[in-house]
Amino acid sequence: MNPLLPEPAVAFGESARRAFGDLGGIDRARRAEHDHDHPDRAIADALGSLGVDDLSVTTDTDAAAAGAVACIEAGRVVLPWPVAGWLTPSCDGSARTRPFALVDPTDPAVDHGATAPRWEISPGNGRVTTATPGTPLATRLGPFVTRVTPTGGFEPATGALAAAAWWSMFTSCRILGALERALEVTVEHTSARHQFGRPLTAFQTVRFALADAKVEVAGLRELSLFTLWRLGTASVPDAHVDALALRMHALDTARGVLRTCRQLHGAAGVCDEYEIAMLGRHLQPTLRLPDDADTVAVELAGSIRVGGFDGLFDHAGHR
Amino acid sequence: MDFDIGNDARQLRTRLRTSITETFPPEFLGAFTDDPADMAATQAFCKTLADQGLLTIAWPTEHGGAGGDVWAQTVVREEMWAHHEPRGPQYMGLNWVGPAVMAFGTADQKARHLPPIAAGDVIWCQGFSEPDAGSDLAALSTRAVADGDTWRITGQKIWTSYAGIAQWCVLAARVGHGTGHEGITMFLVPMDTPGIRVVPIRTMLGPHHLNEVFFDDVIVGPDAVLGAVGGGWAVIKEALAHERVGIARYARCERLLSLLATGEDGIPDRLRTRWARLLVRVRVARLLAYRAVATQAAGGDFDALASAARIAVTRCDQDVADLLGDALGVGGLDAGADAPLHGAAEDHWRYAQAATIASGTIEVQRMIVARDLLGNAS
Repeated sequence: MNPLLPEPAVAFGESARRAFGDLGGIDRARRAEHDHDHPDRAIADALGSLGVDDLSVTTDTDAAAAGAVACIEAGRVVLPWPVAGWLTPSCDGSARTRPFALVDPTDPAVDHGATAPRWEISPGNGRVTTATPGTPLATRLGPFVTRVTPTGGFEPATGALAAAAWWSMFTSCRILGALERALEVTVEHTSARHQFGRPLTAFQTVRFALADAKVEVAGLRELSLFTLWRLGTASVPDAHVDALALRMHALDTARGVLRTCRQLHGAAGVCDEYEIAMLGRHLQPTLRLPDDADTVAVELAGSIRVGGFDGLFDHAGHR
Repeated sequence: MDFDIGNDARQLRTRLRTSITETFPPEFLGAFTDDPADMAATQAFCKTLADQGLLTIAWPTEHGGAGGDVWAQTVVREEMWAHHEPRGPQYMGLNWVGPAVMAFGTADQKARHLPPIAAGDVIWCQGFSEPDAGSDLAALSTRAVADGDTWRITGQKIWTSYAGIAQWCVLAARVGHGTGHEGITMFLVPMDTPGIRVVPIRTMLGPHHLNEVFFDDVIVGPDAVLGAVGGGWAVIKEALAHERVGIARYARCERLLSLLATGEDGIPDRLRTRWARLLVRVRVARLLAYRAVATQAAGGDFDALASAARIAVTRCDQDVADLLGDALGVGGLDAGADAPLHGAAEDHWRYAQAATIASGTIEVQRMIVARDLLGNAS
């Protein structure tokens, strides 16, 4: 038992943070809102220099951890790029040539669609197809979301279920990164802001709200790391259940934590000038596509009924 | 990174489960029921575990234990709590009284107290909380006054588990007129000493759990002092260190969620997603506890991690209790071997209500997490 991230992944995360900082940090996301039609080559180049494109997540556990950390770091600045989609292993074992995303087949859409001319999409049922992105919504909640047009029907693919699990884990890591940053900026804000002659953090109600949010975010980090490990060690069906569990929990956690962090910012929480507003706004597509937490929960409950949910604990050993 | 608990711990888990299932019927719900036979069974089981070398598996070898690592200790905590703590009240002696005596006791105290604990022969209680010193334990006012070679102790304790059946008490009392940590001293007091009066408190938890204990000019010898006179806070900290990660409540939660699913009626469709969500939250709580254990084992500062784990674990305990009740309807109100889950849902709900209070309230845990999170900013 060793729940620590491998050292190379930690170092990779530090490099990614520097690189994303050099790109402007969260300002990159702010700027991208006004130029959402074009792929941001600087981001692609930075990810290439980091070596994200070369991470072989299915064959190298350190690389898988580095990929997860890259997504966490991308989440901290809501990097306007589908890092998870590019890290997801291809369905046939070859090098990925287009980003992957899970979609709702009745209204397929992807975040950051305009960054690639063609996507690989899946409803999460072991089938995939390719798709071409349309025009970004360019709304405040979905600045980079594009509906996509499948080029054909969804066809069975050997690695599609595994790809869905990896994508769910990586996108959950993006959510984790955004929530960790949201909590950091909220601690900074409530420490600096004085009301009634005291910093906000002197009020127990604020301290308790922060503590509860911290527990939620810390729990999501643990579940993310555990799921990352399971993807490298468990069978595909088992890992798929674990990935569903992670995604559902990430969505549930995000809703509560973002609400707390926004509330503790007061009116500043809705101002684009503040990171919390940007994090909450730009994370919405990741929290809604392809489906909501309740839909995932239904799928998860059904999957557990079939395959169980042992993971850390041998349920079958109980009478 | 590896979340595999390891072969040794896995085999220990199997041994413990086997031992429990061979000893107790499926309807066993712990020592603290209205049937005195349950208490007697747990006392006998401690002897069995002692004979098998499993009772003190977590103790260092120099004190007769098996020197099990933190994961062996974790497995013991999990399997015992998952199966309604078949060690009964003796877990307290094993978990922290013994280790505190090892750390602070004299050679005579070690020789006198450790063998009976290791043999499963003795029940201890913990005289900490007082009517005006709960979360603020350092406000305790029970006094110990030197009287020649002896100590004369006067005061009142409350919420003292097992006081009515314990042979010994680890008692926190104040020497002198200081405040806060000043003067707090630990005493090892036989519960049959004249002047001790135990008054049971009737609770939803069942018999033996909570008591008031009155100390009226209780006289003990100099050999009763554990650690230094006035050095009791260090002993309390040592004791609480063993309690910090806390009871492995997640293990019983997982077991009950599992039993509910495999039970006669399964999970009602309307509750299926709530059940799945709870399974995930219980997994998260377990992982948070493991993070605290791993950090403790590595010598790191784990106070806030342990508190975070306890917040998550105790909330799960109550939410699982509510789910079981909602799933079983009137069956969740029923007790006894013929009730659904052999009455475990009714039992669990009652116990879960104290989860966010016992061994440090959830408010205290939040204070610790917030202090750690805010650091200098606080």
